[in-house]
Amino acid sequence: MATAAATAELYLNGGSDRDGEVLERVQPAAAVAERQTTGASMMEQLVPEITTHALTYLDFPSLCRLSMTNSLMRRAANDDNAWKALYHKDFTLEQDNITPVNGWKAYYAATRAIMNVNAEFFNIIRERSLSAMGRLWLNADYVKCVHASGELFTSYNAVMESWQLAFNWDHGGGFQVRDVRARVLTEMAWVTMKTYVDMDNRLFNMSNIFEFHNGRWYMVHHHSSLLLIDGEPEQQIVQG
Amino acid sequence: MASSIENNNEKLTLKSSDGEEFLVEKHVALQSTLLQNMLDSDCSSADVIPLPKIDARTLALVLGYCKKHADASSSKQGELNSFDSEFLKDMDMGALFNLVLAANFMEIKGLLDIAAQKIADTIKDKPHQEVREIFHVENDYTPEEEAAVREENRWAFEGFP
Repeated sequence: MATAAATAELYLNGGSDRDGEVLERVQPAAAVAERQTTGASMMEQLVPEITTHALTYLDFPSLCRLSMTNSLMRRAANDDNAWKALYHKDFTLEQDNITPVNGWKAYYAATRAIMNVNAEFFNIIRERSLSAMGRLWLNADYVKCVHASGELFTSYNAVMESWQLAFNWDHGGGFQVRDVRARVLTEMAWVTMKTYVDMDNRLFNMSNIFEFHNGRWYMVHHHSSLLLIDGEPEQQIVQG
Repeated sequence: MASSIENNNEKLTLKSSDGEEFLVEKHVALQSTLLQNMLDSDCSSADVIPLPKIDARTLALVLGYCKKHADASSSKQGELNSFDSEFLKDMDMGALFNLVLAANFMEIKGLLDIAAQKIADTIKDKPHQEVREIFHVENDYTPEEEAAVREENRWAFEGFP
């Protein structure tokens, strides 16, 4: 009897029961006192491990909304580990050992921004909008584009002309972009991906590079491989 | 006694924070890692195990979950899944939070997972003002702070420009 009670006490962290208070506050007393809350918020009663656990079930807009409710929620919802876990869940298991300079939430946000810009690049190709392509690229003399033909174009104007030509080719058929991986630094990001055409075994390996200027990302480099079939270059059928 | 622990019909007595005692079959109690560890560390089942952080209403729910999962552990997963979703249906947020705390404390991973998922589902896609109400969270931001926090999270609510 005594053993059981003692063991239970051990497991209960020595917490004593108080009349009428079912949920003992697990927050440090000082932190609670400092805040003078009226009407205890339920979230504050959760121990950090549970909060972190519950947060893993939230998507990024829900986490952001939670952080907008109050300062305590913000601390919980901005938790670095929660955002790291979400990053690995939503983007890639790679980059496990990096330490983002501004924390994982900022890195998640930057990565999502890059993924959006990169997706926009492919939307522009689908819509063949030269004006949108013009807004996507940085207007600079060093930007470069290597098309699937193997040709290299340098400078903003030459790159835009190359896209005009590309949009005039009747490409037909859709394509699917898969295995998109982004690495984002403060003012530069690069993305690799596979673009499948028609059938599953025909694809281009592609790389895109972006630079951050005046509050937004601009494409500065696009490089496509030749068409690959089952991972091998196509035989002499590439359009020149 | 160690020998009596081998007995499958053995029962444990759990005592809630408000003093109610629950007689529980051992195989049901084993759904809880906390209780399992206590049993493994030589606690005699004759003893009453106090759970001073869990009230009777919550403990009854927890034990209902444990019983279903203990009895059905070898049967169909689909049946358990529908039990789980029915189990939490219409549960108010206070009860749900008590359940999460109890599941965490008693180390019942399955219950912790579904209860946390349920809480997450409840606030998903709701504006932050509504989330405040659901969680009874008091807004302690000054207007300036609130604007700053809004700005900090603006990226999450807009598409590509």
